[in-house]
Amino acid sequence: MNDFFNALYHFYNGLSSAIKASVVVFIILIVMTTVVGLRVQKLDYKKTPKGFTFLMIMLVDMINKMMIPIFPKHHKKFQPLLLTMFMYLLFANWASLLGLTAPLSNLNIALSMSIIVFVTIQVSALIIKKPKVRAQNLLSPNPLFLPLNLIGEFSTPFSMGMRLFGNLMSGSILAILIYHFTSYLGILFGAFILHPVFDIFFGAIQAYVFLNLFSIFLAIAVED
Amino acid sequence: MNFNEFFVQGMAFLGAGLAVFTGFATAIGQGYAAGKAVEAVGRQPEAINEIRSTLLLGDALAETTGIYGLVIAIILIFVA
Repeated sequence: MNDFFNALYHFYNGLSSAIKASVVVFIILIVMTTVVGLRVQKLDYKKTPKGFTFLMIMLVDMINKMMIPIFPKHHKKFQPLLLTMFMYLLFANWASLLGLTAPLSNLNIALSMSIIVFVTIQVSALIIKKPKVRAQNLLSPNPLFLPLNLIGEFSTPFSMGMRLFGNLMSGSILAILIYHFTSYLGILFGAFILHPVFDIFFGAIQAYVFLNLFSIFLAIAVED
Repeated sequence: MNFNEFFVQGMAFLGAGLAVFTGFATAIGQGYAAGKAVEAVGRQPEAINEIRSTLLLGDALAETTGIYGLVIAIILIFVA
């Protein structure tokens, strides 16, 4: 057992700093969602929920209300995935407030986001619409448009990943520059301008934009 | 004129500076969108919440090309 923990420790130490932060975000999300799920199971439907549980119920309800106009038929299938991606991105972008490296400022994690988007869109389009209809959509205005449609299928997930990477990377580079050139004044500047704007505000907006784009592209591929 | 490694690095920095110039057109587009949003609020003040969220989404989308230039500049400086 001790050998196992030793191996785990060495494995964790060998990771790069952004992936370490990503593992921390995963653990926080697992603990938080498990606690909220256990509380929601015990909930009395006559009473109003309180505190943190109430906030999480509001978040799920908000995402549900956003999804129903976009996916008229299939919103129950895709809402859990979209909510999970949104929560991971939100907490990952806020991770630099805890002194961790922002996970999305590593190109590997940003591009793995786009791989998830690509595989989800293709697989669910093949399952829900039959392969024949899917092929007709790819050839849609004219068979000559096939290369353009294929490039479009690859480039939208890629641009979603690169958008996240560029935003988070530029925020962290600005933070490094300002902390490097201002010694003590930089702490005040960082506390009141840098982290509220670049971590909280831009991080939340990027998570929201990712949720919107993912749901819209998925709806285009899946719904009629 | 000999092409040594310092020349190559200097050219990479020049290229990074040119790549960041993509922010020029992004800024014009975002300013245009913000101006239109102000017009829309002036015409229909009760729809301000919807206009605000649409403006933020559109601005984040319009930012993409500028972000690409920034990514290219970062790659030129730190990787190449």
